[in-house]
Amino acid sequence: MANSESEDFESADEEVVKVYAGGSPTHRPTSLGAEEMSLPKPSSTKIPPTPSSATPAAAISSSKSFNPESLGAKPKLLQKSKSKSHSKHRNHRDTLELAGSPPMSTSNLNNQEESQRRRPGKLGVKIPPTNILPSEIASENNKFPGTTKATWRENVSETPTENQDSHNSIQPLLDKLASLDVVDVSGEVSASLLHNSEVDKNTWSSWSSWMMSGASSVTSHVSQSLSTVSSAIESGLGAVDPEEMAKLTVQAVCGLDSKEEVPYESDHTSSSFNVMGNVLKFVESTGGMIVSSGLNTLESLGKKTMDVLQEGDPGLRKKCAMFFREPDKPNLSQVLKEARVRSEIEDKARAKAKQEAQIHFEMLFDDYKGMVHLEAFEMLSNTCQLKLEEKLRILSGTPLVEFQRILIQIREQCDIQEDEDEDEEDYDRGSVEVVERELTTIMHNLMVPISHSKLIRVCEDADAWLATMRCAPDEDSQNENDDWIDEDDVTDDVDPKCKLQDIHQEAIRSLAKFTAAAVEHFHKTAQLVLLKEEHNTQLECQSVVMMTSVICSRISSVAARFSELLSATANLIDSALVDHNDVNLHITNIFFEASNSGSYIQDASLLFIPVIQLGAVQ
Amino acid sequence: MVDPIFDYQFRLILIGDSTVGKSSLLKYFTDGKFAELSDPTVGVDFFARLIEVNDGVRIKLQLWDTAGQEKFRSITKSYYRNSVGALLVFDITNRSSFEHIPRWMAEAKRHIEPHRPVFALVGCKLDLVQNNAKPREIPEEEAAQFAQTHSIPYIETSARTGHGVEVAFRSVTQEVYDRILSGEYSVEDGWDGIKTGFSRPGGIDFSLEEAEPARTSCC
Repeated sequence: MANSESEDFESADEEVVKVYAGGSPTHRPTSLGAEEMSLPKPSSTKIPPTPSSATPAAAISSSKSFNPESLGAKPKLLQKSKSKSHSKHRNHRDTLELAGSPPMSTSNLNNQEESQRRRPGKLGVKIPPTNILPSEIASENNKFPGTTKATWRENVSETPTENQDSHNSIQPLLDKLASLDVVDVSGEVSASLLHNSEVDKNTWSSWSSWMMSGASSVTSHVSQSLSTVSSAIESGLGAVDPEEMAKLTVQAVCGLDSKEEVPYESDHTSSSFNVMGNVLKFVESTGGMIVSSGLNTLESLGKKTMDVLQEGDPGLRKKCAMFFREPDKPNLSQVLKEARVRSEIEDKARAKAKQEAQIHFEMLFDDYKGMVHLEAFEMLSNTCQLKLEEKLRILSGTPLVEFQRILIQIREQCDIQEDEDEDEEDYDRGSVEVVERELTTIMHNLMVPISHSKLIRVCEDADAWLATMRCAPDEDSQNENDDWIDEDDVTDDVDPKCKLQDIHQEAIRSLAKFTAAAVEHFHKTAQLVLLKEEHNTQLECQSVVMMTSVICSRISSVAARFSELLSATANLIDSALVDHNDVNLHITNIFFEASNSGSYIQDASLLFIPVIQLGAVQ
Repeated sequence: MVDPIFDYQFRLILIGDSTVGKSSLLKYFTDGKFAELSDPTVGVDFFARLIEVNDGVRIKLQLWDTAGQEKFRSITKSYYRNSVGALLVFDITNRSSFEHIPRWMAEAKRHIEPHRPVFALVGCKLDLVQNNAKPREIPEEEAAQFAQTHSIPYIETSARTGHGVEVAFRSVTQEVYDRILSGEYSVEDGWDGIKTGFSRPGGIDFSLEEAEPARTSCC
């Protein structure tokens, strides 16, 4: 296959030469000579330093083309090549290939194809026309034939179907146009060649032109590779794959090499030129290397920077966030603080309301089931009363009088003695010991199977609380002698109030709890008395009176002790910090609730009367 | 301590033979605890718990735990009157306790009159049957059949595991509340079966507003 292709190349070359020669007779010998030089070395390697294969077309264009229009003609050529795609025979295609890339043709055909495929890619990143210097254009022209063919060839191989439909109908016309275009281009070329013919005669001028082209190719390559790399970097933004980068660099160097050969070929007649060429080549390659290595460094720097940025990003973000929040911070915390203070105030208000509700005697009494027991006791008593009334209805005459006498007697026994006991009450009678002793006696007398331990436990709890609170003021008084009051005015202001409130609250709670327990005890006792088979009315009445007396004494005692504690605590605290009206109010309230409590007990004892009466008459 | 804020207070009474587990049932319902040993109730004891019905209305249940002992029967009768609901409690491992249920029911009906109380049949000591500690004497179907004939719910409970306890009280509470909404029950003077909560501002007005039109439409 390689052989056949190379044969094709020869004939194709001739054709191309003819085309160009037709346009520019003056150049024909030079180009032919170039062609001859290239042809005998089909097997020679494409190593850059060897002054080998250069296309005649390339040689021609390199020597002639300062034509700015050539760039403008490029798209035209591309279009043309597209339009030609199917009508052109293979021979012509190959000709163009050969003409475009002689170095490749001499070496591996696969390589050739590869490089050709690559070339359009390179064209893709070419510097925009505005940036191109005339000198660069010359070098651009060098590539012209090759690039044109490559593009065309690619279009043929890659998009045959795409073009087929649209172009088949106008194929003949396009073919004609294409050929005309080629002629046009060659005409242009010939014009420029004519312009350069004088220069050509002079070796110096050719030298200078060669120098120009060489220098320009270097510049263009540098700028090309720069733009390639920069565009790649730009597009990749630091994420450029190192392999891709290397490829690009190699490509650039390859391109450099291939163009590098142009000056050699055109000036192969002079050995000094060869030397110069070598030197230049070296300079170019070195420059390319420097550029590429520089670019690599740049790239690695960029990558590194990106890495560092990416690595440090979370921390950086945090820092940024911190820095940005810094001015807001006091505001936010202040807002939170305010909100907290507000909620604290609200909580306090709510707690106070709740506390007030809790220290409400009736509510506490209800919670300790005192109220419901009293209610139930009332129901029981009412039932007994109804039964008594039933009995009264049945009775008449002497039994009725006797019955009524008994009922009245019991009522009197319960009432009068109670009042007497109230007057006798003294402080000692309220102590737990006395209460327990008396209750035990009462229960024993009543002979009812119920324990009064609950009542005693409540008493003991209250006494224990009072005992702990009595110790506390002593500590406070000791503290008061020190100078801490001056330091902690605020806490001192809050503390005694809380303490007084606590005492008041506990007093009410104790009273309610004890009263509830007492009412429950009354209720249970009444139930059991009612169920008794045998009744000792006198004893029952005495027991109820005693019980009421003991419990009322206890209530008074508790109230007195709590009030005492309250005033003592208030006196110990700096008078400036305590509202004595409050203290008095608390004490009054305690006594008020104590009397309230006593009235509940008296109610309970009165409820007992029908129970005893019923028992007496059964 | 019961939260003082509630919309209604319902008074429910637990009746049934002694040792069927009325007090244990209430202890679990109010304290979440089970007492292995408990003294027999003297006359009547009281428990309270706050419960919410379906629409979020808070109900304080005042629970009257009556003595099941026969000797207290004459006394406990006194306590029926002001109850709006009655839980008929029996022991599923004790047939006689179940057989006394109609008696308890009739007694409750008679004493709660003119009000029609909400009943629920509660079978206790389910855990004993499940543990095979004691044989079941009342099949679930039998009790359910009895409940169905009286159009009352039947719930099997265990105060030890808590199984069904909440459901039992909740069903009664919901039924009472539904009857309030339907207008059958209302807050009345001289009857403490249903009371309005005294701690919520405007609670009484609200309840009266709700109860009043219903009553008028009823009559």
